[in-house]
Amino acid sequence: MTLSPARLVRRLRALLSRSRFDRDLDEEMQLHVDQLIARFRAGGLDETEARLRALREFGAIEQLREQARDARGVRPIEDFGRDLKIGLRALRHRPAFTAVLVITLGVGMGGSTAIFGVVNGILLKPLPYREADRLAVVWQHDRKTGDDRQEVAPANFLDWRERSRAFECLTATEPFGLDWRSPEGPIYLPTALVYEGFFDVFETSPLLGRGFRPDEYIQGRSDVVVLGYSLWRTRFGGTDDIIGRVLTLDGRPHTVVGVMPEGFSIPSDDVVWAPKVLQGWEKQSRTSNFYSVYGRLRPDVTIEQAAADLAAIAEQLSREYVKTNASVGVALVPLVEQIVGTVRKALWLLFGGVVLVLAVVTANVASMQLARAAARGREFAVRAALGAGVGRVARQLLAENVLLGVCGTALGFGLAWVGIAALRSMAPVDLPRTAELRADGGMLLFATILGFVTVVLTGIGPTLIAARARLQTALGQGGRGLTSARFMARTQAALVVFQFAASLVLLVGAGLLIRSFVLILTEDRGFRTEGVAIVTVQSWSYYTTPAARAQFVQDVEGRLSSLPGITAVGMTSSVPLMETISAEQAPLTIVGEPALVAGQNAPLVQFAVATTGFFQAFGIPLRQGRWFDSHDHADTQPVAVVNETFVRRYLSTGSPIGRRIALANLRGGPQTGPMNREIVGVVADVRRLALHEAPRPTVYIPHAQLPVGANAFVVWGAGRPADLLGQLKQAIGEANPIIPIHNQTTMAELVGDSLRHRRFLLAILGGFAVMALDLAAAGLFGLMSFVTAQRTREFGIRMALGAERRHVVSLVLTRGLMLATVGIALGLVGCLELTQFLASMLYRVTPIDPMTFVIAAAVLASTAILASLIPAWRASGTDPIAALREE
Amino acid sequence: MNKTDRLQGHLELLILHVLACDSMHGWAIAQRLQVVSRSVLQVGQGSIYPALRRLEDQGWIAAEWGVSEAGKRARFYALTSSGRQQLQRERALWREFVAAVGRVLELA
Repeated sequence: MTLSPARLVRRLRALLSRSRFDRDLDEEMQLHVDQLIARFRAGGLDETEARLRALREFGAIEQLREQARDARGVRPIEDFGRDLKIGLRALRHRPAFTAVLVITLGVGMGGSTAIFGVVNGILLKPLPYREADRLAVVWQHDRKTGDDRQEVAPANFLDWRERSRAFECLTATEPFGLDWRSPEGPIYLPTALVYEGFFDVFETSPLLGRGFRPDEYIQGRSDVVVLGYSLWRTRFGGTDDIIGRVLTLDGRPHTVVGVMPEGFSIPSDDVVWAPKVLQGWEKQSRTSNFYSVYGRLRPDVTIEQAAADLAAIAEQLSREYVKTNASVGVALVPLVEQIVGTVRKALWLLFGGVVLVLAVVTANVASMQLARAAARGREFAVRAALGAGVGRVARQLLAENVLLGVCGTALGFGLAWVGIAALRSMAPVDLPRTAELRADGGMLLFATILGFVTVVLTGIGPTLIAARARLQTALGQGGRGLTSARFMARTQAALVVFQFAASLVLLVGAGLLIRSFVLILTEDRGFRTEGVAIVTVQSWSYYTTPAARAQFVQDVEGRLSSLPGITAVGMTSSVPLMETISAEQAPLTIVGEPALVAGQNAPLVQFAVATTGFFQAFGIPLRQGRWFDSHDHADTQPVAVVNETFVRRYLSTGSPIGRRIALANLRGGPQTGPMNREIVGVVADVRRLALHEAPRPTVYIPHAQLPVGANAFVVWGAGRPADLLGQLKQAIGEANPIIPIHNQTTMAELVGDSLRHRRFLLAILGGFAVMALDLAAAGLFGLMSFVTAQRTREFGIRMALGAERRHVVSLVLTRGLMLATVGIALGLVGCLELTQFLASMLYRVTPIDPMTFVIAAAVLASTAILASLIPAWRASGTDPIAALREE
Repeated sequence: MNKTDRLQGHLELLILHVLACDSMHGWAIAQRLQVVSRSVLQVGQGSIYPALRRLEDQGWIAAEWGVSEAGKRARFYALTSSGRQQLQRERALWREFVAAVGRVLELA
């Protein structure tokens, strides 16, 4: 029988207007009967007789009414509605059981849905650009070092742009900064200078105003800016009248011509875009690489074809410019990969973790349902005896499961709603696309599917039990149901084993991350974390001569050192763990070391410019020689201090003090070109790049001899961080009232930020592990309680025959432990494979770290003992007489 | 199979047929059918009501409350266009069936 839409509508209407249907039918039939009565009366019968005849003539009203109702075809739905009502009553009858079930389901589903929301929002959803899969980032690939994420040199970009046929358009941005003289004081605006076609590549129109016109990429006309959405909201109040406003940027009036929409974040939505005016020297420059290159592929070109095209061009360039391009290749990365590539693994890992938790939740709910079904064996048997088919009872159970599933899903989605907001706020700063995260239709769909699957999975067991109950009645076994109990105990045992195995995997995973975390925290980072505050500025454009920059730094240091509460004051060009002002690298030559002559093979070492106060503020001890001092200035012998790793790597023989080195390509000094520097001191190592990265060879150069304009002023003091920062800013402002602050932070904050990624992963996986552990314990407790209840009589007999209490306890304990052991063993086997996924996130711990495995297993085993102890103790308290009499 | 059963099975076809010329209320339909053959409604006149509901569910007839010729409230049934088509189909099928059975009986 087909169900046409019109018919469906009729049935729906019939379903909704049930009472009207009944009323109509009753009235109609009543009218008919009345007419029959009237006719028989007219035929000469008296009232009673006429009524009897009429009813006989008409037929059995009740039966007809039922038939008419069936005719509407909504009977099964109505029945199911009744089942739901009965189910609701059954669930309300045991509120605690229902609550535990719904909460367990809800928490499991909420966690999964929230994590799914994160995975979906960050990894799966397309980027907010039209046909985003055609967008790509192009990097230089240094074939010598293997670094394939190198910024691009201007002349290389120009050649790629001209020769490549794979792209609709290639464009580039250059990182820049504009100092805004705002009414509230100087403010630094991170800026991206963009090539022509930049906004077209992303096919994004401005939210307000316009992009740049072709004639604005010319010197003298380029003083126009477009604002990022977030910058516009935070700094400019998010008002429409911003368009046409004139801002004083870098001392010149600039007109705001546009605002980009929310989500446009190349390179971020907290920047200003300005037209890039190509400088004459850039057309030839193939050695200084600082462009980020983006392109939109032609519709008929695949990413592989485009990569091949660019590779061929790079090959040509290698031949044409042997001196500079011999080892320069090209790496093409899809934009989405560039943005989310680094976090993909961690997020899928979280998703894997939550799937395991959900599996444990499902197993747990299934076993609770099983226990419940077993307890209802008598009910099922009675129903079966009264003639209810297996289908009928299964439908009733299905109705109950659907109710639980709906409540669980609703709770889960609600929790996910809250959860994703929480995840958004606790997500590490470098997790991309977090601003876009919100509860959406995708999550709702996911929760619904999950709910459906869970309902089916957890409903199977009870239905089987019910079916068996029927069978037993048929076989005349009565309500006791031994077969059913054995079946159920076996299924539940399997579920418990599974829960323990999954919990072990989660525990080991979390354990490995914790071990890594602790190892990183306790690693000697080489610098002081507490009481150190940092404020950075860029003084290049305010002090154009080296002498003026040196003077500025001395001035600020002098103002700070006289303040109370400040113990040490310094300046450096490179703060450990701070990305925006991190260590630069320079090619190293060591005088007198034949292996390290200037030229092709010069190793890159990190270098930082510093004043002596920097080492004191950061607590970096001197190992040999002396510090810089006031005698080291522009007119004296250039000097340097190196770290211990430097000495170990390059100067392992003889004393390093007095050796001479040269660093090439240093910018900011009074003269260009390498000069010989004398090593005057050796300091302890510092972890600059990240806490988990071993120190690298580093050279420190006194600021007086290389007065760079990247200035991070640092103080160490006993005051509150906010006070220290305030003093720093005040001193800088007194020295120069128009220089804007780039950054302000404390070392404690930098350390915290650098660990946020790990902490995030750890917190979530740890939470999962604890949850799974609790569920496994609850599962085992439930099973042992059930089994001991089933065996009450046996225990009674044993004790009547002289068994002692502890015998019974150990009997139950052994069984519980046996199950847990099987689960743990299976989990350990699973771990051998699964923890490999964690390998890249571990620090000085192998994925099969024996200690973590042992601890996790021990935790689970003791949990198992606890979970079986209570049922065991209770069983041992059985009164033999009572137990036997109960039968 | 006795005569009653056989006719009972075709109750719905008969109702459609009766409604072909005019819309009618339940009472009138029952009387008309009884005129055709008393045995159709042997089990009771009420049996037209479930049949009417089935036809309604199929969309072949539509019902509306109105006032009968006797001035009483009554539910009137009328054929819908799809009901008309269905009646034609059923008629054709019936004729075919009768013809086929007839041929078989002639031959035998």
